Amino acid sequence: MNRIVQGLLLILAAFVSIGEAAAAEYPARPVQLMVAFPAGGGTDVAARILAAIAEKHLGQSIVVVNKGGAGGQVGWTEMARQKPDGYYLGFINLPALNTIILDPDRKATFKEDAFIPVINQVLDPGIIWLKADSPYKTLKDLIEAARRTPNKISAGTTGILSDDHLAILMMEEAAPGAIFRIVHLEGGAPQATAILGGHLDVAFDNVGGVVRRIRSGEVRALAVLDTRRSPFLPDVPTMPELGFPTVISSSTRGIAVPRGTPDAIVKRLQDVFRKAMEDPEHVRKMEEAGLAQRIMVGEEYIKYYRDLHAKAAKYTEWARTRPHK
Amino acid sequence: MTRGWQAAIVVLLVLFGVFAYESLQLSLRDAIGPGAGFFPFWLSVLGAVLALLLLAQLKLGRAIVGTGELTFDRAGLRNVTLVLAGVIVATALLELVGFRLAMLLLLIYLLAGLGVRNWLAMAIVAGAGSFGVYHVFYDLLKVPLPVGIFGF
Amino acid sequence: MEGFQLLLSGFAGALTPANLAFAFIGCVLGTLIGVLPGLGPAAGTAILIPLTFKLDATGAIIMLAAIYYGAMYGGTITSVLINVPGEAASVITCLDGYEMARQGRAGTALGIAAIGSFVGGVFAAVALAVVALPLARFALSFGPPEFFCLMLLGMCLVTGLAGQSLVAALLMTVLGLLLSLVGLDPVRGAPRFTFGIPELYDGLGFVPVVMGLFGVAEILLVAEAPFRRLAETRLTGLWPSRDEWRRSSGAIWRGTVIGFLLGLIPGVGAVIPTFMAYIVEKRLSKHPEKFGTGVIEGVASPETANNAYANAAMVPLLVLGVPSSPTIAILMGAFIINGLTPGPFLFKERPDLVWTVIASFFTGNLILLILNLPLVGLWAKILKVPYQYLCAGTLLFCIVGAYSLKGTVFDVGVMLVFGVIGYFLRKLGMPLAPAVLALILGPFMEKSLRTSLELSAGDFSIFVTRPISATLLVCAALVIVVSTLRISTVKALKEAESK
Repeated sequence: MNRIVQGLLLILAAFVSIGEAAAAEYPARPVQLMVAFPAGGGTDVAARILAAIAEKHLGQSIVVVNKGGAGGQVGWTEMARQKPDGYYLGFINLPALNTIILDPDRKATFKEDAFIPVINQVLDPGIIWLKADSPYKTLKDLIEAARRTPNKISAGTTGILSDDHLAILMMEEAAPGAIFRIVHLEGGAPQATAILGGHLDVAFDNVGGVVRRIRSGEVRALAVLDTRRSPFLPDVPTMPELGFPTVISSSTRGIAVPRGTPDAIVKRLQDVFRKAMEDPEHVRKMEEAGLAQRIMVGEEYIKYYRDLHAKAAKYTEWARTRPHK
Repeated sequence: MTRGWQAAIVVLLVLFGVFAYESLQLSLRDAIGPGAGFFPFWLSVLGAVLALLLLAQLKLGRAIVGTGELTFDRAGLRNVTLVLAGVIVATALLELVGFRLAMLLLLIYLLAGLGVRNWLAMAIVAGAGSFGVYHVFYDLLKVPLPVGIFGF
Repeated sequence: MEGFQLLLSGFAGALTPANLAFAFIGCVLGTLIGVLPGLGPAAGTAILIPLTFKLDATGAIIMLAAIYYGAMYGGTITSVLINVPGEAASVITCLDGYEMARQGRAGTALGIAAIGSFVGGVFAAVALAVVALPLARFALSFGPPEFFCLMLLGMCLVTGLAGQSLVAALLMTVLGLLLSLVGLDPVRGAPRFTFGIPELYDGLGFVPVVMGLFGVAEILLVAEAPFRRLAETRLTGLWPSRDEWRRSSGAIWRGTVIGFLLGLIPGVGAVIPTFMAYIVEKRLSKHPEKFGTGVIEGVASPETANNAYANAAMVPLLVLGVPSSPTIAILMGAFIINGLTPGPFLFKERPDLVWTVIASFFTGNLILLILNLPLVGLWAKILKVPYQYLCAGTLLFCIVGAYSLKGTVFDVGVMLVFGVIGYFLRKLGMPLAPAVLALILGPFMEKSLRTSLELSAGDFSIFVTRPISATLLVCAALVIVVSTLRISTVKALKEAESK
């Protein structure tokens, strides 16, 4: 019996010392980068571009792993459970992550403090767009029409409690009296079909998904929901320019790690990914894909995350209690 | 022959009951139209009605039933439970011990359990099916299959 | 016809050695991906996109499109040989295709599938060239209410899938509908019947469920009684009999039309055309009760519809820039990565490219046929392997497939659960097809109903005031009336006979 116990203790000691050695020399093995959406989507494409470049700066391969489902909830649930040792990173999409946490029906098993935001890659501003031959030529036309005939103008989103949905509510708040008939589609493609087919009056989406259609001339944009004009659409006015400085909404994608990850590792990751994002090849590929890069790192990103969470809380609550649904 | 069908109908009735109960926890109507619980509830009711109808048809001997029977013979049952047990255990352990080990053991277990005695063929198939498949997926297709706590 | 002229110039481009080679490689890779479990055309295509970075835009797209419709055929191979639907669209082929394989006619089944796919694909490509633009505009008028009524029509046709017992079929339909409602509800986006498991928020997952109901259940049945289940594959000649040719040709034409028309509507997935084609074929047949026992039309019809759909679905993509399914969305991504924007602009800006791609559908489909017909005999030989290896291999296949869908063991678990369920249902003789159809249509129907009501602010009259949806509703009502008449006539005849 003694021999066996000794043997087991020896094995245990071996494992422990391996663990310690690993912590001392980060990264000692490949790192997993989780994308909470299926392969081929916007987040996935950007993640793979970034991973390929960041690998060189990190010194270890970065394996992109897709864990899609429930609008990201499956992947983020998985990440919240991982060890904070710097070997499991994940992309977080805001405000999708926020609304999942805030919606009590979703029963998320994690709170907003379950993750440490490390660095942001893409910021895709919201956009209001419609068919080129629509009678509403400016945002003012649209608002006035929505005021004259409340709950008649159909406004489409790409999902319940998506950033588009929250943006419509922000719009209604900033222009009292204007009430839209909110229609939820499942993603950009059905929304585009509905607009092109004349079933929807106006759509709220993000620049990245619509810019090509605008360039081709079949659709028009009324406004971009950002503080600065989009480099892809320099002719489209911003919300502050149009007199609605509070209606700012975007979808962002950045990297986060589980809570408890040591500062040293977080700093290392920030360093590595920032260099990768500033790499001209990354910039070029992002532009080709129509994705607007906006690097936010450290405190800036953490503040953005917290502010957005508070903002989302307000509109998520309102979405649930809105009488017209 | 109808006993199997009767058992199946009872199971279905229980299932419909569970669905109906759960749907009542959700709202049946909302501001615009049917709520989240509307369709599941009425579908469960419809399902229960159909199940009882089928039961009645069986009792009256009038149903034009399919050519199915729930008969088992010993050898067949043994095989089925063997396969099922193996596959369930392998799946449960898939992420714990890793794909390669789990599939290697599963394949050997299945082939041996179903009567294969050609050890060489068994070894080759088991090896190809576990390690071979893993590497095809990981190296060629870049799809990672589970790696267990042993690191492989 | 201007379209025709442009098509001819497109051929000039498509027939260059380089582009032919790309189409060839695409067909090969596509078939392999289709055969591989679970991956499905979507993930497979996504994986191969980086390959295309090194090619010029035209070549890349030709190759990706070839991969796409090649994968459609690959999925058929596994459906016929081992009753495992490689991807959703191949499910219905399992019904008659596998039965044919059990009777030693796997080669014939695969052969007619290849021929049907070719005819369907080529016809769709021709129609695409000729009527693409006007039809695409028409298809746009299908909004959520039209969608709902279309699905409703599909559901009404389910009685066409009923075997011996109508009540049993309806019961399975209801069960399928209930199971399809598991997941986030379309009203508030809140989980329904998920018991707190986030993996269920997107629903049970069509592919794991059918892999279980068909594939795993079959393995259990084979393990139980290996010599009753598997026939001696004497390969009774690979060629169909004359009578079968006759029946198949009708099935092929009908399948082509159905697949093509449904492919034009943006948002219709690949499964629906195959089911519709099968049901229509069964209803029009002189011996509907034989469907499911291995009739060749049961394979010819859905397979043709499959490929006609795949080629027709390019229309919403090329003309409107709207992808009809996740796989096509990935194709669209490939366009974009290569600097092209699918849409009317593309037709004006790069007509040479667009028409070369369209012409490549012809060459691609031909290559697919030439590639696969000779291999059919080879595939069929796989069935000669001893049943133990077949069982073990298929199980491995299914496990890898289910796992690789989303990278989670949960899907494997779902597949196993439905494998057991399928085993019992098959033993009892309960019809599976109605449940599968309901599983696919259920979520579409509920969501389009909900979206329609959001559009109309709760007013149900939206379904009858819009011309297309009203027409579809009338058709649905007609179908029900005709079915009821049929059933009561059959019953009356039977009773008269027994007197």
